[in-house]
Amino acid sequence: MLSEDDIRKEYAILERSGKNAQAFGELYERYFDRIFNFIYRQTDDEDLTADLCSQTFLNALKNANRFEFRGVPVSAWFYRIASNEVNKHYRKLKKEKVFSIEEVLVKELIEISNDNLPTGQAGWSEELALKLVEYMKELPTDMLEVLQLRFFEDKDFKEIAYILSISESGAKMRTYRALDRLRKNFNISIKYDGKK
Amino acid sequence: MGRNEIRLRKQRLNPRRIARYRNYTKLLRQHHRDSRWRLVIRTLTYILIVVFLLIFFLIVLNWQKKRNPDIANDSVSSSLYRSPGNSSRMEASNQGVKNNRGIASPTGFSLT
Repeated sequence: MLSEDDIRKEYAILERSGKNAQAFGELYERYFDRIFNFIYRQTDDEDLTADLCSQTFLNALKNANRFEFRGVPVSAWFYRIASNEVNKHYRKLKKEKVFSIEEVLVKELIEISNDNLPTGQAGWSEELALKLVEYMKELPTDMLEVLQLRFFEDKDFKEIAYILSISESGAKMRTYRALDRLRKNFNISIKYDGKK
Repeated sequence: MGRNEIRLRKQRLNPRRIARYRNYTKLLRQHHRDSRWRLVIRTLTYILIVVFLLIFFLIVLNWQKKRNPDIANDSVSSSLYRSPGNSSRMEASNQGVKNNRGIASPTGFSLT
């Protein structure tokens, strides 16, 4: 998590970028990988991700003067632009959205509650993974977006609210609902803010 | 049929693979190109607006020029024939024609 001071420093860089585009390079190098991964998780296509990612940073550079400090890191603004670019792409193609999730991350996220499992059964299995995927298909897109930002991008609720242009309480509600459904359907406990 | 397509990936994206797409110089070049285009389009828009206003102004001016003599004639004649002292002035001018045998103007002054 960035401190208030770090956020202000990044904001100062962005302000400078409005006059001198070269200054933006620092932020570009710092956040390129994260934004690329974020977009890739919603496209599963490297070339398309590269296009959308460069469009994201181009838009950010173009609008560097317009960014208003709201207590969230500059990266949240990049995520917001990236999210809008991805949504725009899917709207244009009229296709269903793709969520490509790393199995490793899902394993890290979900810890099987051994109490709820029959003895001798392994915690993580391919079968469970497939079931989970089938189940996640039925979740609304806005819930999946919140889950992605919360667990795969490690964003707090304030940032999630800013990225998705919703209220903080709305972001919390969506997350809790999605997690409750997961718990009920799979008898699993989920790493969540240190609590299970 | 699900609402979204969910794919489970075995591996994370390799940072080296991502690095292939990272190119700030290219982004900067594109930004400069876009800025130039924006400037050209903005300048052209301003020029078009000025030209449009100029044409509009000329049309209005031309229209007023054409319309002004008619308006002037109309107003002069109507003021003459509608004014209260009009009948006495007309009589006076007729008298002047009779006496001086000259040409009387509608305003009462005779030209001999």
